[in-house]
Amino acid sequence: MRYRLAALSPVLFAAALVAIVLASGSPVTAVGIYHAAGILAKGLAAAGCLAAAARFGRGDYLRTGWALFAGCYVLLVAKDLVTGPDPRGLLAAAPSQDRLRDLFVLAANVLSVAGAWLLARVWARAGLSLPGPAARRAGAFAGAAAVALLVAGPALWVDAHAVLEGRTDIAMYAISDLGDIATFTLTAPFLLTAVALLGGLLGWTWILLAAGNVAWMLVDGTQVFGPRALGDPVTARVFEEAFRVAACLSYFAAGLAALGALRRRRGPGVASRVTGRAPRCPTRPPRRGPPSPARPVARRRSRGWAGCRRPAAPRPRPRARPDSRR
Amino acid sequence: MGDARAPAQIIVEALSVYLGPNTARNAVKTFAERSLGLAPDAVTRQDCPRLLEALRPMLKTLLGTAQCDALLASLSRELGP
Repeated sequence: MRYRLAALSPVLFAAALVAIVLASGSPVTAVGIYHAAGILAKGLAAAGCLAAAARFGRGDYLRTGWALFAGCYVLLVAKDLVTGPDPRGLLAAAPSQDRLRDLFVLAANVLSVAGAWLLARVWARAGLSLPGPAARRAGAFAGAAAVALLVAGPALWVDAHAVLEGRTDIAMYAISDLGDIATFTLTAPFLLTAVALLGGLLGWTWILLAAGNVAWMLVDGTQVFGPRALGDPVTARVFEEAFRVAACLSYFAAGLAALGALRRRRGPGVASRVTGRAPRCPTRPPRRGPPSPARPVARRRSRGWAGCRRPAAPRPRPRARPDSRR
Repeated sequence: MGDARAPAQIIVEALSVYLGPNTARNAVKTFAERSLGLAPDAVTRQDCPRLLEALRPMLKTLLGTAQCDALLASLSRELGP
């Protein structure tokens, strides 16, 4: 239930953002709302990833991956705090701020690619192979790469042309675009991992990580196709920011899911120790007397009241006084 | 404490809490074959310490050292002589 709620939280937050922006009715107010929502969502994503990283010990493989994601989101928060709201046509931004912004985005992209690479390689590191037949795995990678090229390819095309024409200041954008393509392509191993771990506590982490990557793809896709497809840049911006918030909160929820899955659990028996569920307790005391063939001894002995809370003994009914019927 | 389940089945059930039933089954099968050269059904309680040690690197990667140690310690207790 907690995991399902965590999985729903990105959608709920994104819907809340859209409702607030539509209720505000002013594009200038909306820019401020996007800015505040972006900082909050990225801050939560950083906190979630940091909490997941802290759950692992020093030298653990996944600790580094989560720490890199946390660093990515910290840099994105720093970018938002330093440069202020992104006006996108409403106000002119200072060039010096743009430069700093780009540096933050570039560094965040590098950390994001490194983190995604480490988490995508977890199967190889664990000595297992990604689940499913080779053809399905190849198909998943090809599909993710195609979508990545579709949403981030146009920007890379424009930026790469500018770099080739001698505009070295655009190189940073081109590197960021390449980072986007790499991260989006790594959605495939995230999805395959999520499918393999379905039914286990760790599965939620990978489902939410994959959802986060898909939401980031939608952010880029809305930037590229939104204004034309929706016929209105203002509406496209609402969707873009909603997807951004959903992406960040998916990472937040993924971090929390990892934290919850790896929490120390107590209780009798391996299964209850790892699930945290209470052991199956009998609803009545075990019967006394000789064992019957229908109820083997071993099974009855293994259950009983061990580790269970005994129900309170029934209170003796007060005796009816002889004169109580009066 | 009699437990009618096969040792490999006990390990699969404990791992499936984290990894899901399919991956838990595959992992036990892979590492039983790799470390013991046995099918999971053929694993005895005497083989379990070696199988659990073979599973350790995988579990350490996916769960982290602390959780991996706790899980393997519980399994060792449950499967111990």
